[in-house]
Amino acid sequence: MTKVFKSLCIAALAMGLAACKDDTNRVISDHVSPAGHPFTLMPITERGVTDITISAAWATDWIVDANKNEWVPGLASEMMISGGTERLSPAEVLELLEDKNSYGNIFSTSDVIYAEVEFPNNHRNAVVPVLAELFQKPNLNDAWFQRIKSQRLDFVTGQDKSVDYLMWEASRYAVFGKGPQTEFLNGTEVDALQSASLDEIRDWHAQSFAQRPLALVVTGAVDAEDAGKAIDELLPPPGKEPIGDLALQDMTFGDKTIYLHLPDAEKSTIGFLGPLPDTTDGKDGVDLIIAHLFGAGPSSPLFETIRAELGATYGMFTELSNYSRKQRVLVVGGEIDTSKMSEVRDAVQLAYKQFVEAPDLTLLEEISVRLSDSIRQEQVYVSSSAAMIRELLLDQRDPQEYQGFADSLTAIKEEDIMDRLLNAFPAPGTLSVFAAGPDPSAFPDACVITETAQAAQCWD
Amino acid sequence: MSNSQQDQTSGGLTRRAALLGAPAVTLGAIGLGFGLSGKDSDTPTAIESSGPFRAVYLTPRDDQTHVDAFLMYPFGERHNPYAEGLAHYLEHLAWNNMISEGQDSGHHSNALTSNEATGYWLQRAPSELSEVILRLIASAKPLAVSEAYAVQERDIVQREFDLRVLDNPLHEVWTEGTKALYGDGPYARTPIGTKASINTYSLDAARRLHDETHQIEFATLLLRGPISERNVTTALDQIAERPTPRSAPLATDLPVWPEQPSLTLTKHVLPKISSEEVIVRRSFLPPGGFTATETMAARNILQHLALSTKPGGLAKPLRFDNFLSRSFDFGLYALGDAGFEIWLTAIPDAGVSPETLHAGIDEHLEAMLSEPNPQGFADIKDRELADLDGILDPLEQNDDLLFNALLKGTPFVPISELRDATAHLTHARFSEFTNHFRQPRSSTAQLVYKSFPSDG
Repeated sequence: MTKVFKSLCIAALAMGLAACKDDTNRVISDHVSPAGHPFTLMPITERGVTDITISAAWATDWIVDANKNEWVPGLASEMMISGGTERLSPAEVLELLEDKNSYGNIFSTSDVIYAEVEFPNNHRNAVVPVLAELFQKPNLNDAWFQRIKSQRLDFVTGQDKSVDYLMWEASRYAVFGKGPQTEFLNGTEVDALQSASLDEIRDWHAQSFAQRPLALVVTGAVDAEDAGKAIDELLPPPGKEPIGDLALQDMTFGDKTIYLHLPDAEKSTIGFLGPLPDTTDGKDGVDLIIAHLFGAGPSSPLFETIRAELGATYGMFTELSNYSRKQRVLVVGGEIDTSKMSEVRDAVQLAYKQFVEAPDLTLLEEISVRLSDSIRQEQVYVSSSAAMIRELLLDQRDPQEYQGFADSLTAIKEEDIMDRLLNAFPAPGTLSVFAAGPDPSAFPDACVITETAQAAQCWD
Repeated sequence: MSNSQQDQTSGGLTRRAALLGAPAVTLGAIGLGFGLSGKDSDTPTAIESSGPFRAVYLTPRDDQTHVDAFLMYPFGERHNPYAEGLAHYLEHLAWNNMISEGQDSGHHSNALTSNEATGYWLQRAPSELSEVILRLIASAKPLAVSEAYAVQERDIVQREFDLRVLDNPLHEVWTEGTKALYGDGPYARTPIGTKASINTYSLDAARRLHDETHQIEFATLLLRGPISERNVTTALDQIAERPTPRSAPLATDLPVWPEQPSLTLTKHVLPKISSEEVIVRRSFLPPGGFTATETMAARNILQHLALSTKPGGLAKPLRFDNFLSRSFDFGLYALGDAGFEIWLTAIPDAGVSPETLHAGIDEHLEAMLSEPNPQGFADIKDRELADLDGILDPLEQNDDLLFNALLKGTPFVPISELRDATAHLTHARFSEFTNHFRQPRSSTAQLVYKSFPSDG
């Protein structure tokens, strides 16, 4: 920045005028840190922005190995941020981060481990060394480990899980059968939880971060030089190449309704699932609009059918979800009047069929404009921007797509919707149906089960 | 744990409406609390000529292409003298008035009911501003639904009750605690109602409540989007007719709940719950001699101090130093302008009984309130100031605060005033504030077990 420009900026700030940007603002570029970490940077130099977000993702194959304890990734992620450091107790770490308006988060999915830290630029020197210690040399304190385990054990053994929770647990047994990924996603194995050890946590930690991240993104009030330094302080030196594609469990979608009979349940719930392509093709914006067209708001076919016509529910939802980056699904679900379960199943299937074959696209423009607005408003934030760019990188898409993502939604046309509905969405009549509640005769043709794991045999 | 705030608001959610807890208010307090200058660019603009409404506020936003319009009536479940939850049922029926008014079927619309207010929301293009306002006004017209629709909607409300309540194993425990604190009066009511009360709802009763609460001259209109003051004034000028009141409005002054300062301690056994729990709740009248702004500043610091690991906070003694509680939550919840409730929920660590945890909570809560730690106070105050200074978009924040204030029946305190009050709050004054919360008007503690405790 030239001196003159800087002076003008200062004058503008003093007078409370508009944002003072320079020509690096929101420019996305690739860099390599001094220690050799490749990273993607997007500085945000707008007025008032002081935070820096570093967001990273590593591949993991922990759950592919049936001999590994499926509880470890979750326990280890929580231990890393809860256990304190060599010099600071857990309470002191928390206090420091809160005082400095900073945070760190780590969580593990079937195939990717995500980590994100955020801190104001002026607190970088106080915060990054502590975050680095949490990340590289976590204090694996046994008392905290036992506390975290007992908390999870209480949940697994508790009898107060919701009807909805249990139905979706059963759905995962049906879709994947029994296996390590199912156990990871469902978290039902008490013996495995009880046997999880700190040695396994150490193994997971050593194994997970010994490889290069799949994506490493820095956004916010920082330039390339400082971003590189912060990365090198935070992360261990670059390791080996990331592991390749995983052999995750196959997904199966059967046509027989699975009904989980819960004699004491006071209500009923129903869910529909079908496969979608992963997001590497860049069509996820179209999918988002389709989900809104079908299931959002009082004028959607789903609302019209199930609430306005049948009066069977307060509301149902339609969403796009995924079990891993490659395993993506369309999900429809909601609480349903127990006496109308069968009618609802037929009505949703029919509404979906009519929607796929001849969708009412009157609201296409309106919905796409609103979603576009939401994305634009979300992109104001440093952390949201980092997450969006990270997701593009994980899909091996061009990070520059971030810049046009909001506008790309408003450019979606009717033919894009039709193409996607016919070629990517589940065909009508193929959505798998799950339900749970107190009435085992709700569906005469269902596979009725009483334990969620029994769903694994329903489609054999 | 958010039991304390559950059921306070019923209805769908909008971007702004992820809101909790909405206590009662008198109309006088609204008049007092909403004296906006109208010219501060960081706060919603009060439109001088408010048409048929009590007040109209505009938050101009160029970062959205649509207009969000909210009409808020200052009557919620606490004002409802009929079956519990009827205000929420009425909201479902009156929403239908609003969406039946136009040509489309009500997409991008919603409604909600809190303890203190009932609100209707529409989102449309700026060019439809006049229509949006007319549609919102339609919520005050006589209910247009058929008897059959009303019966079906009662079933829908029952489904909503199932959705929001049945999966919470502590719901009944919490409701019992509410009755212990507030007796059977307005402050013991919840917008979601009860399974039994929902079955008694009728269209006639809803009509009666509608006539007594949905009167345009009491309603506040909030507008947000790419529109100007002039656009709003023009749209308001175009309103040719308005629904005339069909009944006297309900009283807005609510009776204060009974005084029962001695602790009500109850034990509950719920074999199916995942974790045992301790629930401590106390009600209070407002602290005397504190302005609304000063109260909010002190309240924010107390809430954050309680949750923090700072000296004098509760996190170190309960969660970190002694492993008494593996997690806890604390809130200081405004009962409109009538008072406050302190609630604390905590899950015991392995090997810690609910009794032991309860004793620890009492000890450390008393220490925090009676002699708030000066260092802890100073640190949290600094943190609050840094947070307030770091707000990137004060207009948006103030827009949310105004909405929340209307929904909760509390005075609106803009960010700039809150910052000023926080900066000027001394430790002595804060101590005066916290000591007020050692004198409850009513008090309850509930110990929730998985199996019968050894002392029976």
